[in-house]
Amino acid sequence: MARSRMNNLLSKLIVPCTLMTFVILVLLPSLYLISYVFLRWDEVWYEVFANPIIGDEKWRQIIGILLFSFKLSLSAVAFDLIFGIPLAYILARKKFPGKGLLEDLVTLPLVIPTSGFGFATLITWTTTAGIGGLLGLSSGIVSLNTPVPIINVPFVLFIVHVALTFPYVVRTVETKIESIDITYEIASRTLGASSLSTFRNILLPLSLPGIFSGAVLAFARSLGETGATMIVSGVSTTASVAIVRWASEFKLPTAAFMGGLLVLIAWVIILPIEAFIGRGRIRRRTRGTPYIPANLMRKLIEFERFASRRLFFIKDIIPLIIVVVAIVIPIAVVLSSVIIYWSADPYTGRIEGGILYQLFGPPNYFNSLIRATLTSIIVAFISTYIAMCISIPLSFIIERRWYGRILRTTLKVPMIIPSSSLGLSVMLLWGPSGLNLISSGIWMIILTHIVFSVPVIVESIIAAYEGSGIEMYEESARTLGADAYNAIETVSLPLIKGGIITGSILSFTRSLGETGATFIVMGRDITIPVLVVNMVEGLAVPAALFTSTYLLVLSLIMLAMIRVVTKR
Amino acid sequence: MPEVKLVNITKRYGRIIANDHINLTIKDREYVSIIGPSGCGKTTLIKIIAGIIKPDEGEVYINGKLVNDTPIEDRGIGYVFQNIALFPHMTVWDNIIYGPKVKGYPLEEAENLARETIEMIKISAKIDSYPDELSGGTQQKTAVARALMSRSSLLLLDEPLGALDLKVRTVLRYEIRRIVKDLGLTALHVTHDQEEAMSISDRVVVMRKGRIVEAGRPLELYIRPKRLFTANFVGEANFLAGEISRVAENGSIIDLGNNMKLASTDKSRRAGERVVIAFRPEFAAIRKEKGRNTLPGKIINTIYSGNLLRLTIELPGGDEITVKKTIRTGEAFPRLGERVMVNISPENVLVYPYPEGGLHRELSLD
Amino acid sequence: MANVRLINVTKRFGRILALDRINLSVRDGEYLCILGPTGAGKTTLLRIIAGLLEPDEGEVYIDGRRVNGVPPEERNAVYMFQNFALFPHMTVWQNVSFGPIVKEWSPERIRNVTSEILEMVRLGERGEAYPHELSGGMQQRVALARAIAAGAKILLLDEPFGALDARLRVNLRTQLRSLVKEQGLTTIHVTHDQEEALMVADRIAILREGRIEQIGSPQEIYTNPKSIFVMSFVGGANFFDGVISHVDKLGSIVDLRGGLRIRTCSTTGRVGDRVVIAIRHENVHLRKSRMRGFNNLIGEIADVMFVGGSMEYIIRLENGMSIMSRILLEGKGEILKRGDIVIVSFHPRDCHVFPYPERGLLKEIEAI
Repeated sequence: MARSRMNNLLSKLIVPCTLMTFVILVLLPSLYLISYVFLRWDEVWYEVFANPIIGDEKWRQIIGILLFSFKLSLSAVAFDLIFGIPLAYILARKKFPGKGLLEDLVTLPLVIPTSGFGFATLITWTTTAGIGGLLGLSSGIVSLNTPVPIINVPFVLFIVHVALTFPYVVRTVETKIESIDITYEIASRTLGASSLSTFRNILLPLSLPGIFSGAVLAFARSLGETGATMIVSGVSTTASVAIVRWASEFKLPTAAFMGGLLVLIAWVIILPIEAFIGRGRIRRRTRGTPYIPANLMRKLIEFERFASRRLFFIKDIIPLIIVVVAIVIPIAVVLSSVIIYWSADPYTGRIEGGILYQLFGPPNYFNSLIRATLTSIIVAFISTYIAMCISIPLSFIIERRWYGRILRTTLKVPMIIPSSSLGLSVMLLWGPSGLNLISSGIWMIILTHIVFSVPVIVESIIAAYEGSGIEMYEESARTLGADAYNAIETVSLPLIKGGIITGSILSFTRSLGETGATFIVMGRDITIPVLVVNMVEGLAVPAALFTSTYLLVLSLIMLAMIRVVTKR
Repeated sequence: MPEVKLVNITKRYGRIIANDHINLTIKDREYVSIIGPSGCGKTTLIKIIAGIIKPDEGEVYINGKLVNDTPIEDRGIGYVFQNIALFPHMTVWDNIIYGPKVKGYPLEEAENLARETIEMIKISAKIDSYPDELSGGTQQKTAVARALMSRSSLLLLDEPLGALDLKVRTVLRYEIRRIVKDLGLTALHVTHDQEEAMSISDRVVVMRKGRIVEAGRPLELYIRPKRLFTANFVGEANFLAGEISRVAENGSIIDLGNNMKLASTDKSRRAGERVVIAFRPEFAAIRKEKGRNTLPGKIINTIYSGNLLRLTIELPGGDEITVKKTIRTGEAFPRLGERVMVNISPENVLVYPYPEGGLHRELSLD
Repeated sequence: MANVRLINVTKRFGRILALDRINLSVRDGEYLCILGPTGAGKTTLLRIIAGLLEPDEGEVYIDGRRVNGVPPEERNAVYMFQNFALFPHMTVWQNVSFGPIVKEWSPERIRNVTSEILEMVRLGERGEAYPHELSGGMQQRVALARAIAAGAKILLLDEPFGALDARLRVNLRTQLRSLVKEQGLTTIHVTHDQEEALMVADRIAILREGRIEQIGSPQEIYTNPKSIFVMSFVGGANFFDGVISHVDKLGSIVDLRGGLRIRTCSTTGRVGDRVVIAIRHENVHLRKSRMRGFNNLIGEIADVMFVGGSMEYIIRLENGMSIMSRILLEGKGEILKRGDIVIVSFHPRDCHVFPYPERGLLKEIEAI
């Protein structure tokens, strides 16, 4: 039949086409930065190490910045783990009213515009519009650069990074725990172990791969966080912010060098851990467990028994508090501030300090807001669509070919390399200094957004795929007479529909809120989050308030849509 | 002292009543099985006893003590799961010794106990293996050993053989019974396989739609089931509708229509009442000539199953019945299409009131 | 409607040899059961016939046509999974009409065929229901209807009753077979349940560790098992090891431990050979007096069990060995008790004699 012959041709072409598109649009930009550094080594050497004016000052700066970034990210991840693992357990195992809301709150940082969120956190903690005002202080609770004791990292910066990386830990660990048969825990309890003992002996070891994975993702995400960091970093500089700064000063080789380093670090961390985890079980060498003296062990067991009964509720409350403090409050503050600042600055009464004035008066930010909205939506739409077209066949390839796991691991990288690195890479690859196919502007933004959208959609599709027993249905369809293409079309795709839609909405929202990379490649086309950064730097705080709110509300709506879709 | 006592246990899931005011007492050292079709509530019941599920109403007593508010780990029971649930990241040895260790018992005592148990279950060769390296049967034996380590006197088994091959099931079920009896434990065993339950239990409880239908010793339930459902669920049976035509001192006569009449020793029904009679396929015998208590029929199907012959016989009027008989070596097989007489002794003709909802619904096992 | 032939089919997974030179012929319209323990390679074999897996060596012929490399959709061999694999996002009607739709028949023809077949499986009124709303038994009927509507010539059943209650299985087995025979489908039914195989198959192939141990009709397999494994796996038996002490043209005498001597009708083997005697449980009779022409041993009843319509007795013999007897309850006759002394009798004809296996007796009969 003509149709089946065409289908046959299609199925033969689809794999190589998809792979090629993947390599060109997604892989290349992620890696280009590294090759750029090698290709332009003399320039890099000149600027960073052997600068005629400042010697290797830049190199020293780079090291200092990297160390600071590492410190920040490690502490954020540690914090995430301590409070995220109990939260993941609750979300995975318990049912309670409002659970959906809690899950959404935890997912929120994944999609909200980072610059808007950064701004919200800023005013919450450092100005009277936030908590400070509520407590009747004359200034914010902390100042921009107040450090967290011991770790010596600015509080506001720290809490922003915690909020933004929290979901990586919680969701990954939650998924892992959900995949572990609850019967193991019940068996442990019937054998006499209290809930806490069960957690320590059974659940923790079995969910270790998820914990590792989540921690690694969170660490890399923190390293690469740009958008919010740009707003709250104060006098400190993180690696990703440095890239933006140097790029805007046209010190491209230095920026590329730092960017390349970050990409390298991301690869070096992710690949071995994913490979190790993917290999399967972590066998506990139980015969040789670390020896804990018998009486200590007995005390531990007693404590666990006591805690299981009396103190259990604590593990529920504290992570909740964290979520509220780090995520909910800043958003609430922003929303309320919009109302306060609507017509005029509440303190000075000056209309020029009010939102209405800034939007519709002489500064006329409203105009730029409309244009930016248009740009943002077009970019988000097109990049999501193209990413979806690549992701669907790519997901199938990952699940069915022997090299699928390698492919999947490779996909983790665009998710975590600093968005500024990514932007820089795309610009250097396709722009005037590279292949010179596209100039900065809307198309380059689109290309950049495709790179991080594809992994998001793929992960979402794979999650739906692996839960659905698709292969069995497809095989049934095949033996009933459907050819491969037909089977996928009529059986498999409908079954993973939920994953496709969820992934697309997620990526659309991400794209709306993406700041770091867009900043570098945007040329003259401005998206909404970039607008926020501009407004803040132009000290048009009320306008920034409004825009952030606007963006946050959009994201919230998107998330609600996801919940509706997945409920069906 | 009864080991387990359930008083008015009720559990609902939305509009479905999983357990409907269940009252059950299990005596010390008894091996009791609960059987019933999927969804009858047996699994819910055993989980309530273990503390995995909390009942909506009712009380659970273990060894005389009310345990409704006692958490799972303090109830002192052993539990064997259908999907085995050996901890995948631990060896056989560590799985077995987990219970005592996690309760803080002195190590040496626990190790001795473990060695004894392993000897008894006969898995000494495998103690350093991980669960996924073992066959299904060995895995489950290990799980049983693990559950026994608490040396509690109550062992709960939740469809313990469900995940295993038929051959393995038939061997392992005797192993389990042997161990339980050797150790003097009380066992409660839930299964949907009535043959399994019948072969190893002291007492069998039949459940359906949240309620206990009937309970008794296996042989009793088989030969003299008191309820229609039991007759159908426990072993196979032939069912024919009819009407009591006469009741006398030594039993009753049932008119099955089409000129067929059977006598039964049962005299619980009254003349004129609509009834269903039942008899086991193996209690019916094939004869050549008409005799006492016989039904005429034509053989329409013969299935040879091992050394058992299953004959499907069509009666006048269209009803079909099954007769099972052994073939002695050298005996001639009855042939397809042959006309025969089916004889059943009056004491093997069971009589039940005709069910309100209709015979088909009452017999449905879905 | 179609016959299937496998010639030297071999399949490896890494270092594991899943199938080892399988040769099999299934006749048109035959109901063949592939019986064996888990891991024997049964599912692999089925998948190779379906075209979901390609053999490493060997050839597969369907209806005389070589189908190596031919995709599943062109083989007309429908694979039915243990849990039926009804498309969850489609109604019963849509599931059943899937095949015809794929074949691009006219809408009218599709409608006629679908409703006819649904009627046949007695689900005509559930066309609009979704799979999860149906019971296990009904789901199986839909899966069957779906296969028939797709024009299947060969039906491949992978443990079709595994997901169902034990009691339900007994009823459904015969129903499935009738339906399949009515349609004239060639059926290959994989199972580990020997009772099931004995009841429904025209022929049974015993698969063990990738090799076919024996093929034959249920009767043949039961009365003439060619190996200890087959005898133990299908029907079970009492096994005793001993040594041949006498052979002539009427039979042989085998010496067991403790001086017991058994007469058999087997004329193969030589004096001094180590052998295994096997006697089916139901061929062991318990009497009050000796039976002429039979082997008669004295024993004491050690255990009494009631199993599915039969009584099983374990009798301890004089030499310490135990023998099991299974007697169908026939509603009359007494049930013996523990401690009763009985005469255990079995006819020499019923004694199967096998050479003592290299790997040891336990290996061959052990289930766990």
